[in-house]
Amino acid sequence: MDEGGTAGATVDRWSPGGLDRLKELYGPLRRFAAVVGRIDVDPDDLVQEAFTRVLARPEGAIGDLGPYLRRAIVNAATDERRRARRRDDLVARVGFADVTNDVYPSELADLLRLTPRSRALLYLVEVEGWLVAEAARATGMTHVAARAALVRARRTLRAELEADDG
Amino acid sequence: MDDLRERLERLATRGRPRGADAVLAAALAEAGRRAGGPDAPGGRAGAGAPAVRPATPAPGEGAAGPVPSVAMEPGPGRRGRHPWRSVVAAAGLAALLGVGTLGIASLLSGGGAASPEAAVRRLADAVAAEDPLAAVGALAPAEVQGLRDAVGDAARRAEEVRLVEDASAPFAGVDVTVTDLDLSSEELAPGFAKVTLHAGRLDAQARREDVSELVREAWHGDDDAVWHGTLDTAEADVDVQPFVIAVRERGGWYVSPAYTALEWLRVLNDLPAADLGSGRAAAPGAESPEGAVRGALDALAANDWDRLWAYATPDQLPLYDYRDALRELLADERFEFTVDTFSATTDVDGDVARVSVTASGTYSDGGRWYADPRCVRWQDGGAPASPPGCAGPAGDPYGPWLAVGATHDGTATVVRSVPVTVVRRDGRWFVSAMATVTEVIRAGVAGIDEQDVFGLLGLEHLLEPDGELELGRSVTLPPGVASTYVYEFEGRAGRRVVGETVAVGAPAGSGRAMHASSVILDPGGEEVPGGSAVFAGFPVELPSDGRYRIVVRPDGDLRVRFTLYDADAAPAGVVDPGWSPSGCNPGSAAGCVAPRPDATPDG
Repeated sequence: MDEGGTAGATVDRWSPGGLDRLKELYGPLRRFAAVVGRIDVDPDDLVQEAFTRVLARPEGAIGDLGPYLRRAIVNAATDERRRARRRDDLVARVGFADVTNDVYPSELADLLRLTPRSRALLYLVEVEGWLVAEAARATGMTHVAARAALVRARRTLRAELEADDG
Repeated sequence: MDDLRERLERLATRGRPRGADAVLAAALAEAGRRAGGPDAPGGRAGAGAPAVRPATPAPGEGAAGPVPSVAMEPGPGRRGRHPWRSVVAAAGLAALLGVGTLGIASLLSGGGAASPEAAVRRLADAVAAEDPLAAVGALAPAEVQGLRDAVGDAARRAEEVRLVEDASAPFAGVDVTVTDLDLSSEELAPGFAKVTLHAGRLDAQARREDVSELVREAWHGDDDAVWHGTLDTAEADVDVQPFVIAVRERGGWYVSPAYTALEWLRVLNDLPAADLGSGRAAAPGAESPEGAVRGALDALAANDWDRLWAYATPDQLPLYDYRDALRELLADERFEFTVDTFSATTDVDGDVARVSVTASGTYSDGGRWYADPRCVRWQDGGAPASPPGCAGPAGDPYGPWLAVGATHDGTATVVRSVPVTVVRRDGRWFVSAMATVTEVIRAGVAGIDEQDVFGLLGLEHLLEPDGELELGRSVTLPPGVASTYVYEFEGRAGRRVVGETVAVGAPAGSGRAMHASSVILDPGGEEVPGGSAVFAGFPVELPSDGRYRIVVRPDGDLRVRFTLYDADAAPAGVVDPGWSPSGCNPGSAAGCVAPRPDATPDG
């Protein structure tokens, strides 16, 4: 397979109208990426990665761009999180004498400890008012798994909130 | 939940947006670079170029300049190394490998216990005696039967990689005690009982002198009582009182892992009661082994759960008994795929058959799936068409890690396939999920080698090096195998080294910048601080003259080429622009990472 030629031709196939549709989606996607990504990852990088992936496909091959791009963002954030953890482990293997835990802005720490997928679900359902089934599709989860993840996430946050208040 | 929404809003508005035009332009440039490869106009010098983006992008950045796919920045301070982590990990691996020996027991075990509680006590006694033979003897024979085939391979492998001294005693060095058990039981149906654990205490301790020589090497510190854990159910804060399900087979009582797991699933989700034993009496199965596999696949495609469970071996995985509960649990679950082609070859041995499937179809979002005796491949919707098969990036075959996990090459997800094991019960054929999973485990165990184990234990300095490394000269690691590689090089005190990795022949969409992890060992075998960050573009200073080792672990799904440079002679772009000879870099000091300007919400 001539990857370069094929993909290159694919990029060229996007029409100005198609690119405009991506631009229109930028705002909501950027907000979504800011919630889903690690605090030390630029949300624009996640959006850019999602755009890059979609641009490698023929325009029109993806029926509903919004959910597809959100799933791409979740996947990229999850992938980056795994990579960061792996790197953390490796750094820890070096055996630093006096290291500390991850430090987040305190008022957001509970949220940021959730997985990217759980944060994505919470954001889509709680803030953007999506149905759970739609949010599940956009995050690459099954409906049942999404419901369970939402319950777990809310329970965790509630418990931590109560602990903070207590 | 208003507070939650408020916090999500704050998170959603963090940072300074670069704007739609800049991000889209950068994505177009990146897509073009990936399409045209590293030498494409506007592309980076190579996939190993630094992945770290400046904390505050310059206005307009990304339209024409270097654009990483996802920024990876030096994280904040990290959790310290747990002194016994490697030992615990080794014990876990030993247990994993040693589980194979459990299967032997199922061949040797005698009859069951006289009562459901006695079966649980028998299991507890076996655990306390670290006697795997007796432990399996307390489990339902039909359910553990599937482990038998994995026994020989796993036991031999554990000895071959020196993880255990004797495969027949994989838990040597571990003391477990179970005390104060308070049990009661109730009959759920004839031959089925729920045994509730009201109280009990489990203590475990590891002894250095009794573990294998290899594990002793990795054992840090002199304290023998390295691990001590206690589980006291009386003090546990649980919603559901712990229980197990016991079943009556062949005139005796056994603990049933399958019924226990399904009953927990049912109770936790408040689902309808099971029709215990109905599967053994009524599950229809199929007339032929191929019919069972095809029937199960068609049932899954049709989301017809009741029909699907009817093909599961009822005495191994009693899904049919739990059909009402599972129907409710999966009410909203939809698998969207078609089976367009299907053929199978079958190898029958008595009441066991192995069915190798070649099939294909479509799935949601326009993707296509393909299966043959080597792999199952899900081609992303809209991805460039590729011939069916199992060739990995650049045509390389995927490695043995496929046996234990999926890999994604940028356009498709691929897993290694195994024959589907089908068993005959009363003249009808059923799909044996247990035996099929066992095949996967066997393949995974076969893929574990000494490098993996030594790497896990942090004993790379004891491995034979794979070769000599010359600074500035690339090394291409063997394709298709994710493992640990050790190279030696000559180092001088004060010299700084830095590295880069390149994914050879990586397809579009897999543009990751750091394709392998690294550890650098000094001439004394000690890890050099910061050695794990050299492939991220952060040079590390060598502390003394002598022979150094670099331990390289490539990512599992890529063929990797790496180069280690004298930092002063490294090509442009290899050293991360954020690196400072005297500043905060990975490995430079604990917690010495400056926060990003946009790391806190500005909302």
